Amino acid sequence: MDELRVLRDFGRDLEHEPPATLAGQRRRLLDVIAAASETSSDRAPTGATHDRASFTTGATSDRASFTTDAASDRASLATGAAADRGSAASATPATVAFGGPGAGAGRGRRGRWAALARPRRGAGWVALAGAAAVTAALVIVPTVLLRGATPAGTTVSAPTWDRPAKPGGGALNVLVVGSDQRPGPKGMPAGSLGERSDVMMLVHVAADRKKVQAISLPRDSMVRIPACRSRSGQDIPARTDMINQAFAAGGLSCAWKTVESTTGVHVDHAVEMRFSGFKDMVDALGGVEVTLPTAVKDPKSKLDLPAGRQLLRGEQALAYVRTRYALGDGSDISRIRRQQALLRPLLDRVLASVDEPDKLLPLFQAARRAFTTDVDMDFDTFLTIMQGVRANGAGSVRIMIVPVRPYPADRNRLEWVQPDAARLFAQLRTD
Amino acid sequence: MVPTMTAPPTARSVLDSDLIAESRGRPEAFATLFDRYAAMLYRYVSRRLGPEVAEDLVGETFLIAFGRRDHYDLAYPDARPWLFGIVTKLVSRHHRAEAARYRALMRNPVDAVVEGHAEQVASEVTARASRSVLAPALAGLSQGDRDVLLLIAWGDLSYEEVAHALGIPVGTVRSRLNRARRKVRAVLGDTNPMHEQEEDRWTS
Repeated sequence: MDELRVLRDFGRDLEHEPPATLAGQRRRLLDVIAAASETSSDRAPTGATHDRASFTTGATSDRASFTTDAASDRASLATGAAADRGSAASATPATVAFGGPGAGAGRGRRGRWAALARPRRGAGWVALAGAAAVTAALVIVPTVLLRGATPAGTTVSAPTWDRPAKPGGGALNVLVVGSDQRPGPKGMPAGSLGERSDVMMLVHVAADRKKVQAISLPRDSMVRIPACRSRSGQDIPARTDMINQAFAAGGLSCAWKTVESTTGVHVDHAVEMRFSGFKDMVDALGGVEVTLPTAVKDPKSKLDLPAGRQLLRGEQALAYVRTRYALGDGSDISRIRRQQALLRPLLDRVLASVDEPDKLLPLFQAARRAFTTDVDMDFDTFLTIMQGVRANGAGSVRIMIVPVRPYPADRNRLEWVQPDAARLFAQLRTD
Repeated sequence: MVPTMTAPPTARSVLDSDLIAESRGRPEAFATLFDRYAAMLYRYVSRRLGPEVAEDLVGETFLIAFGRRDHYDLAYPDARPWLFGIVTKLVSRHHRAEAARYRALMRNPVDAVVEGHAEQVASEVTARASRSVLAPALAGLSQGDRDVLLLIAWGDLSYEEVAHALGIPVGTVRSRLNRARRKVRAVLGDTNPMHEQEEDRWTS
C-alpha cells in the first residue's frame, strides 16, 4: 500500500486551477518591481530595499520652516492640549449613511481654533458642508494642517518640464495622490515592498471659485506616461502603462507630469497623502463613524465588521477604503466611491477637532507624516479656495470619475473613453 | 529600465538562479519567476488552504521573494524549494484554518454529484473514501510533519529540496516524513481505499 499515492490523489481532488484574477497579483509584483527599478543602480549589494526611508523620515524634526505665527500656534496648542486633555473624550463622531446625504456635523464649530490659529480669518473654513467636504478633505487637510510647514524630505520640487499653458482667469487645478505602502511581511521593514498610488484625483476650482470639480482617475487606467526622472535621478523612458505606474516609478512629480501630459490640463499643485498616515490621522481624531448596510468580512484586508452604525479605528478605516472584494462589485471604481464616502465624515471630524486640542496635536503630527506637497502650495491659496467653497455651499462641488471602459488588450485594466474624457478635460482648461 | 506588462516568456533554458542574479541589477527580470511558478504555487496552496486564500498568498510570496532576492543562494539553479519555503511559512500562519478545512472535508466529504459511467462513479466513491479518511489524518499531524509530507506528496520536492526549503537537515526531513507516513498509514489501516470500499472507521 502506498499512502503517498493515495495522498496525491486526494491532493488533486482538492486542487483548484489558478483564476484569471491571479494576474492581479502579478501586477502587484510589478508595482513593487517598478518602485525598485528606480533605485536598483545605487542599491547596496546586500539589498535591503530601504529606499523609502528618506521619504518618510525626517518629518518630525524640521521645525525651522514653520512661520512665526504657526510656531507660536503650536506652542499654545501644546499647552492647551496638556490642560485640556480628556475634556473632549465625549466628542460625537460624524456619521455617513450610504446613499444618503452627507451629515454636516462639525459645521459651525468655532471657539478655540479661532483663538489659537489666525484670529483675522476666524473659523472661515469650518463651515464647510455636505458634498463639499469630500473634495475639501483632500485639499484642506494638508493645507490647513501643514500651513507652510513643509519638513525636509516631504516636498516635491516645482515642475521643470514643458507644461500646458496656464490659462488666464485664475482657475486652479490640484492633483491629489493617495499612496499606499504595502505593509511589509513579517521580518521586513514597513514600506520595503515599495509604494504605489491607489487614489488619483484632479481637483479643479473654477476661476470664479464658485464651482469645484473633482475627477477621479482610476489607477488601472492605461495612459501614455512621459519620460520621467526617478527620485534617484535616473531617466525613465516614456511608455504606455497604468497611470499608477507613473507614481510608483517616478514619485509625485512623475504623476504630476503624467497627468498634465495626458489631460492637457495645467496642474498648479500636487499633494500626496499616504494611507499609513491616514490611519494615524483617523486614530488621532478618535475614529470615524460609518453605517454599513450589511456586515463586511474580507480576510484579504482583515476586515470584519457587523452591519449598522459603528466607530472605525484607523486600521479598520484604512482596510475599509482598501478592500476591493468584500464590498461593491470588486472594482476599483466602487472602491473610489467608498473612499469618497469615508472622507466625508473624516473631514467633519477634522473640523470638529479644532475645538479639541488634545486631538489636534496628534493630528498635526500624523498629518505631517502623511503628506507630501509641492513647495508652492501655501495656506493662503487654499484658504481662498475653501472660502469660495463655503460661500457657495454643498451644491458647488461635483465629483466625477473620468469616463472609462475595459482596456481591449487586458480586460482587467481600463482606458479612458475618447472623446468624452478629452472633452471633460478641455472644459477644465477653458472655464 | 521599465517593466513592461507583457514581458515575453523567457526561454526555459535560462536558470532560475540566472534570473534572480539578473534581477539584482534589473528588477524587472524577476517577473519571469512569477510567470514560471505562480500557477504551480497557486495549485499547491489551493490544496492546503482553498482557493479563497491562495491568490493573495501567492502574491505575497512573490513580494517577499523579490525583497529577499539578494539573499538567494545562486548555487541552487532551481528556485522552487526557495519559493516553497516562503509559501510554507505563509501557510503556517493559517494552520488553524488549514486544520479546520480538513475537518470540514471530513464532515462534508463530497460535494460533487455522483453520476455518469461506472468508472467515474467508482473513482468518485474512491475520492469520497480517501477524503473522509485522509482529511482528519492531515488535520491531526503536527505542523512540521504536515509541511514535510505535503511538500513531498503535493509539492513534488525531493528530500534535499524540502530540507533546503524549510532550512532543516535532511535527516529531520526523513524522520518527519516517516512519522507522518506512519500516521497516515495507520488511519488507512490495511484498507486501501483505492481498491476497496470505504471502511467507516472515522464516523464510528
